[in-house]
Amino acid sequence: MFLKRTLLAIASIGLLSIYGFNCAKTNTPLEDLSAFDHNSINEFSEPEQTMYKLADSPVALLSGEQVYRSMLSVAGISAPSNEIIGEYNRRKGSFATGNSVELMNSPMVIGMTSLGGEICNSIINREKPLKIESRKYLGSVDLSKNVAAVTAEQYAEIIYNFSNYFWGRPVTEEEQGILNEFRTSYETALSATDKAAVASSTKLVLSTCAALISTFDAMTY
Amino acid sequence: MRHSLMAKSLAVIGLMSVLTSYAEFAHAQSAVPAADLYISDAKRLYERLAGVKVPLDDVRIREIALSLSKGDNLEAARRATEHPSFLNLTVKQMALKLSTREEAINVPFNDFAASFLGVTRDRTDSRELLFGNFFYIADPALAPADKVRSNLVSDILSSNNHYSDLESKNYDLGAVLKRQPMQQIVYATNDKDKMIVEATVNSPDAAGVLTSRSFTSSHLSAGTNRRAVEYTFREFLCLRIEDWADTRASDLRIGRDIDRFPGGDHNKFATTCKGCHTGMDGFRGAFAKWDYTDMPKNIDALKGSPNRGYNADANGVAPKLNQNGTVFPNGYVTIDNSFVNNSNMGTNSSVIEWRGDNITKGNGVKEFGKLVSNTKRFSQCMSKRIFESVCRKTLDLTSQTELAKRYAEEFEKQNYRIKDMYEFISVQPECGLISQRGT
Repeated sequence: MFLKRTLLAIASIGLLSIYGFNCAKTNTPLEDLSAFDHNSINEFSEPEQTMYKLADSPVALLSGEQVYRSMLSVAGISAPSNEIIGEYNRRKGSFATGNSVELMNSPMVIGMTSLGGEICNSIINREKPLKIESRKYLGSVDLSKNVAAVTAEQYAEIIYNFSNYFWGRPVTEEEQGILNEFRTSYETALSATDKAAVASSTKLVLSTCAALISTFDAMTY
Repeated sequence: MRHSLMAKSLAVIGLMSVLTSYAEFAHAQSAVPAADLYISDAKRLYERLAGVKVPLDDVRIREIALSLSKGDNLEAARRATEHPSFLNLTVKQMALKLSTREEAINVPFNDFAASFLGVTRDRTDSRELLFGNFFYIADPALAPADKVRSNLVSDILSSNNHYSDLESKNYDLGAVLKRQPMQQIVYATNDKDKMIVEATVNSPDAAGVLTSRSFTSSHLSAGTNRRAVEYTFREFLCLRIEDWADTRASDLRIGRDIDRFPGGDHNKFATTCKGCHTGMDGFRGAFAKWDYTDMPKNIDALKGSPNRGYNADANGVAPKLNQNGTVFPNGYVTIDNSFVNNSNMGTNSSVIEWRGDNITKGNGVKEFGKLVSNTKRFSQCMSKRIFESVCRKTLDLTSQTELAKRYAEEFEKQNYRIKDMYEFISVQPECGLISQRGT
């Protein structure tokens, strides 16, 4: 129940993005290429260039199936669980049936966050048992301990990982700060018993992941 | 307490989103290192062609960026179209939109879209979509019948079971589809116990997607078969009926069901009704022997068959072409599948640019499809569809004539290959997916 409410609340990210910046271009060049071997950049020939004209492509909405496939793609899920398929089938009626941004609406965003929650659950289940060095998203967070054991650095790391691997952009200072505030609120709201429970760390990671997988990036291309 | 947490979460995360967007927008205005631009461009190009977002560590992004850095943009686009989602999403959605009357993408995968995907994947001449004698079904070795319903009569010709199974069971559509050489129609016979047994025979007038189950169920079901002409123009020439209406053309082919004195006023017919009907009725004879009830039927070929919903007159013509004959008894009576081209004068002539040996008349859907697909407008329209599918901008064939002309010439130069055209258009400056670099 708590998680469902959390997911619904996080859906507001998308809503606020849409209504605040529905026409903003998202063709931001990547400022962080940590996923790449930087040495390989030398392979790129560098002709003499004195000016660029940045790409000029309008934002287009992803259709329902595109959102679904995109989330699976960025989460590295090739065989979705029955829970993910079920959630998609429950929510797809609210997803876009075309590519015009005019089709955006609140149920769509809430549905996407809910679907994102199931996908994040799958990511967590997949990475939880892995050694730290084998993990892609969860970094060094120990999900066998409660939320108090998640250090600020570890939390920053997973935020960075989610943003970077999902959408190819680094998390901004603002995002980092706001999610830190969210964490503080979350921990403050927990009862002593809930806070001591091991599940409290998983819920924090799940909420953070769901927030970052259902941003404006998830709806548009 | 929990409600309070929710409220805080909402506010905090909403603010985060706002600030993020501001930061992104501001960053877009700043100077950007070249290598970063290649990666950024590569990701954008890749995602638009594939139709899905891809993770930054997808190895193909780097390969595409490398091609871009060498100035080989077409190779970059080729790498992008290797992603399975190019066919499974980008091309599929474009095809689905053309396949039904609703022009929606949230309809199940169907035989029309399968042919479209197949022709794109196999890089064959896309004109055959309007006249070719072929269809695509799943290769049984890749999609076995115990997993995908594949009976030719019950699951492919009489229902959409086969194609919806392929989609709902997450098959890689672009990989499993296999071309079949001859379109089929269901032909029923009576067995010794007078029970109806359904089998298939070769279609006598196969015309690519125009005789597909999806297209015929959308446009030949009930009605007067005019809609099939209207939507052929609409989907493949990008012309709405009002765009090609022409009141100056002959009304000799207009059917008996059209009132020449609507409201007692012949002038109204001559200045409005006639404009659309002269074109549609001129061509609709091509579909005279086709009907759709449960499945596509070439009525003439089914003479003597106890087919479900079989209905034909003595000439093998669907009675609906001559229905309501008392409205204007002197109107045209359809007796065969001949058609005439009444849209070959004035503006229509220059907009459509008919080409070929015989542009004035023909017989059957196959010849009609061939006539339509050989027009310059077909090349422009397909280019427009592709441009809008990948660039997500509008290409107005009326005002952007130079661009439309250039694309049409390129499409024809590339032997009408849809995939090649996707790759070409996606890297053009006007598409806007790739940053332009200059010295």
